Parts: sequence; C-alpha cells; structure tokens
Amino acid sequence: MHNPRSDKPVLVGVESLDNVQQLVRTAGDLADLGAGTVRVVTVAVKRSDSPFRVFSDETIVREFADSSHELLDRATTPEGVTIERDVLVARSAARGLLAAVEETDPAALVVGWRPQEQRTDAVFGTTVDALVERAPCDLYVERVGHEANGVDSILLPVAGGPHVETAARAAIAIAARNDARVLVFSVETSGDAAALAAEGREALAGVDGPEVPVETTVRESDDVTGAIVDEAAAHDVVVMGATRKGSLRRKLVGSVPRRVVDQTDRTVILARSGDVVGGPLHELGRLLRRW
Amino acid sequence: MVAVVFWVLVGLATVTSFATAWALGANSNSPPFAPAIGANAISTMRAAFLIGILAALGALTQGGSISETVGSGLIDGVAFTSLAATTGLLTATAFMAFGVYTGYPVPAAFATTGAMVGVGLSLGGDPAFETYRRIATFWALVPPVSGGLAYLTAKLLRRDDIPETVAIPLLASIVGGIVANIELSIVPSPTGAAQESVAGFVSGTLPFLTVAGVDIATVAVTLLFAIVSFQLIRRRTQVSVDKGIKTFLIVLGSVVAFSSGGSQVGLATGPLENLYRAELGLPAIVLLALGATGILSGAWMGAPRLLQATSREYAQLGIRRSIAALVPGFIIAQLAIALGIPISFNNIIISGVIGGGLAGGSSSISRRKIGFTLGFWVLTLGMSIVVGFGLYRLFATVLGA
Repeated sequence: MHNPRSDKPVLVGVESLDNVQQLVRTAGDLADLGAGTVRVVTVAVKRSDSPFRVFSDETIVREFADSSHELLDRATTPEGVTIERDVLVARSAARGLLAAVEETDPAALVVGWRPQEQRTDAVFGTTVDALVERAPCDLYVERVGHEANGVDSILLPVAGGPHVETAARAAIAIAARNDARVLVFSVETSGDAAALAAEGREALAGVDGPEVPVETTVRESDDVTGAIVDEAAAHDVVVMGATRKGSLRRKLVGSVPRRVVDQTDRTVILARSGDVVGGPLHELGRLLRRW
Repeated sequence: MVAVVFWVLVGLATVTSFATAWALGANSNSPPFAPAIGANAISTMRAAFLIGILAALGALTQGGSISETVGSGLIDGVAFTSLAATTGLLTATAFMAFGVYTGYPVPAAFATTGAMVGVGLSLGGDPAFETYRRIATFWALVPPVSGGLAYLTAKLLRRDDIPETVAIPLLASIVGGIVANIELSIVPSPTGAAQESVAGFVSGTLPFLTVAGVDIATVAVTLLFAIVSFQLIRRRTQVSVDKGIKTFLIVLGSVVAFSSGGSQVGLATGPLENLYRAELGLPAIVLLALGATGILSGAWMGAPRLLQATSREYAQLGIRRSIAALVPGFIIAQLAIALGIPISFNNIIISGVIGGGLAGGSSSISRRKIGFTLGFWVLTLGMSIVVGFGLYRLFATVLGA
C-alpha cells in the first residue's frame, strides 16, 4: 500500500484541542519520509437532529464551525514539511474522516485515541473503531495525552502479521527525525521469535528512508504483554501492529496491543496496514454507506 | 393465559412508552435553552435541570390533546387493543432508534403517526381522512410559516431604525399574549372543558362580557398579559440591552421548553390512550405522568451533553437570529397543541433556524440536504404505516388474537 517516496500527503484527523500538536508531529514525521505534506482535517459534525445541518457545507464551514477552526489554528507546522488545513462537514467524525481519505488518497491517516471512553463496547470508541475497520489506507492510532518528551529510543514489538511493515515505517519515521534508535523486540513463546525478529528487521530495512540504528532483543517469557510492558519502560515510544493475524473483521485490535496500551504510560502508536481493507465486500459496504 | 398475555403486553407497552418518552426528552429538548447558554445567560447544568422540569410540566398540563389524537383520532371504528398499542409503539420506537443509530433524519411524530395508522388499519379500522387532511395541511405549512416568521423576526431585530428597547419587548408582548391563551389542564374550566387557558377562564367566568360576537374578556386578558410582558422586558432592556436580551432568552427558552414537552409527550403516550383509559380505567393524568417522568429523566440525563454541542452553534447564529428561530417555534408548537396535531419539535426548529439564518444574507442552504431530509421524512411516514400494518398482522397471527 505504501509506495516508497510516495507523493501522497499524510492525513491527520484532529478533534480535541489538547492533542492537535501531538498528532501533527507524528504526521509530520511520517510525511518527512514521503511527500512532505501534512493535511490536517477536522470534522464539523452536524448530526441528523441538528437544525444547522441543512445549510450548505460552505455556510457551515464559514459560520457554524468556530470550534473546528480553533482546532486547526492550534496546529503549528512541523519543521521541513508543509501543512494544509481543512474543515469537513459530516454526520459523524468517522464519516467525515473516511470521506477525507477517499478524497485525498493519503499515504497514511493518523488519529488520536483517549483511553477513558469506556462507555460502549467499542474497542477504541466508535470513531476509531470505524476507521480501523474501514479506512482504506495505512492507519496509525496514537494514544494521546502521553506525549514523549524528546525521543531517544523506539520500541517495535513484532509478532508477525500483516501490519509489521506499516509499524516499521512509523518507527523509522520517528527515529529519523529525532536521531533515535529502534529496538526490534520479540517474545519467545513457540520457538519462532528469532524468525519474527528477523522479519521485523527486514521490514525496517525495506522502508525507503534515512539510515537509523537498529537493535534486536529476543526475550523468553510466558507473559507476552508483561514482557513488552517491562521493556517499554526503557523507551519513549512504542509502535505496534494492530493484530498478529489478518483482517478478521470482528477482531479490530489484538489482545496483546490492547493490554499493552492499558499498562504502559509511554506514547503508543498502533499501526494498521491499508492492505487489510478492501475486497468486494468492503466495496459493497462503501457503496451502501455513501449517503 | 389470556390474562397473562394481556398483562405482559401492558407491561411491555408501558416500558416502551416510558423509553420513548425518555428518548424524546434526551434528544429533542436542547434547542430551547441552547441560545441562552450560547449567550452565557445560564449555565449548561442549570439549563438542563430547567428543561427537564419545564418539559415535564408541559407534558403534564398540555400533553393531553396530541396524545388523544395519536391514540384515537387517527383511525375510525376500532379501539386500540393492548396488542395493537404495543405494536404501534414498538414500530415507532424502532424507527426512532434507527434514526438515532444511523444518523438519518427520522422525526418521531412521523414515525408514531405512521405506525398508529398502519396498526389501526391492520386492526380493521377505517382511515380518518378528515384528520389526515388537517395533519397534512399543518405539516406542509410548518416550514414556510416557521421559516417565514423567523426570517421576518430576524429582519426586524436587525433593523437599525428599530431600537432593541422596542423590538425585544414587542416580541415579549407577543409571547405573553399567547401564554394567556395556551390551554392547560390545571386551569379550571368554567365551561367544563378538559383544558382551559387563563384568558378562557376569565372569559368563561364572565360570559356576559361578549359584545357583538367579540369576547371582550379574552381580548382584555390577552392584552393585559402582552402589556405586562412588554413592560417587564422593556424595563430590563432600558437598564441594559444585554441584560434585557438575556432575560428574554431565558423566559423564551422556558416557554419553548414547556411547549416542547407538551407537544412531544403525546407521541410516547398516545398509543396507550385506549389501553390505560378505557381498558384499565385510569385517569388521563396517569398516562401523562408516565410520559412526563420519562421526558424529565431523559432531559436530565441526555440534555447536558447535547446542550454543550448545540449551544456553540446557536452562539454562532447570534442572539438575534436565535430569538428569531425560537419565537415561531413557540407559536407553532402551541398551535399544534391547540389543534391536537402530532408534530416533531425538531422539524419546527429546523425551519426557524433556516429562516433566521437566511436573514443574515450570507448563509445558503443546501438543496440536496433539504431534499434528502424531506425525502426521508416522507419515507419514514410511508414505511412506518407499512411496517405497523405488517407487524400487527404478524403478531395477531402468532398470538392467535
């Protein structure tokens, strides 16, 4: 999905004043590997019961979206990249961001996620869940609020699966901009940890970008989550693939990444490859949801 | 066995009715106070608290007329059994839930009216064409009248040659005059009607004051209310225009919240009218109290979140255009209550906001979105008739009723 030196922008969806800059910075790191363009979008949500929804999009953006403009103004341009800002109008944040992905065809989409939304049975809140399931591009979900203060070391836990390359790309992007190193980390449970770690190194080597110091650690442990959480304490950022297995639709995010996110206070970025979204069923769903 | 089924249905219908009232209270009661919050005239939590109380009071004292139309006015020749009432409610609630879940515009009034017509026809009743004609006319007139009034009000408030110390009290006097004439079940009626207005009460008590067909007492009481309202708000605006406007926004929000409760509760309680009153022999107030409690708890739990979101929009619309949207909302909601026409408060407010918005000059509306919204309203009405009809057939066959 990600062409080396892609000329596509990196899209970043923001919806809270507190974390605009954190997400824009990650997007800036990713963009520096590619076209050098970050497109910051926010969705002016007009639900079906809002009397304001029937105004034209231009009117809504101009007159009834103050908070959206405030959000975008908060984004400062990261060094070395150009930034575009855009307000979209949609019935829900997920719809708006999916429309933006369709329109922009970005190299990747970066969104934030705040852990306290535990009211629903959604894994990450309905917006992020919908994006994980449907956004047809590489997707990075960054746990917001825990922003690393200066990055020296990035942990890349690997266990195979379709998202390794996507995760590796973010690890390289962040390391390159911060003069940091990447540690490929694999936990020995069934004898294939060395092979998985090699796969992770290969993925890092495959990223078309500047040279970054890479190290490898294989740890023996029965408790995969615990091993990763322990190791994470020595690093500033953790980048993980969302699942080990393929695109099982019901399983948005694997249990290990989900638990790691809960147990560490480091910046955590979950990577989901755009390759797992697609196929005829997805196309049908997309058509049905067009309205 | 029959008795068990009956009581299960009564229980199910009651729970569904309460849930519907809850949803109406949570979702459709934010507009009245959103402009006041946007103008910093009142805090969000206090507004949500007031909305719950006022809407529940409105439901108790004004909800009867629309509830009756929904319960017995839509179909001739048959009375709604417990199964029919439950089916009608379930159908309407399913449509509303679909709307909330998918984000499509599904007005509660259309879903309930359609469901009750469908179930009633399925029961073997005759369509009440005269009622449909009245309802359809009213629904068709709401957008142009509400939008038009809002547009004119906004234009009036924007004129530089009419100072706000005149325009705002003038609007207050109109609202006051209407308040004198709204019918409340708590006002005793000298003529024996179920609901009576303050003006009607005075006029009924002094029937000799009718000269040449003109009911002097009603006119006098209306004028008195209008003048008092004018004076009160005028004094406030003269002290400080800002304070006067804020006071008016809160008063206006209060009467609109009250009207909103009165016009919405019937959508939840109407289907149970026959069940509660004829079959269980309970007084009308019991059913309305059930609905009012649902609206109260819905508003208290759901409104703060919605208010926060919508108050910003109204703040951007501005105080003048917000007032312009609310005044017709109040007038039309009261008219609907007086005529017993089921109506979704949201539909009224949309037209008001559009009318007020267009008066600003630079706003434009999207034809595509309007068309889509209208299309979905009509679809809701049509589909709820079909589903109500089919569902009752199915249930009746399965339960052998």
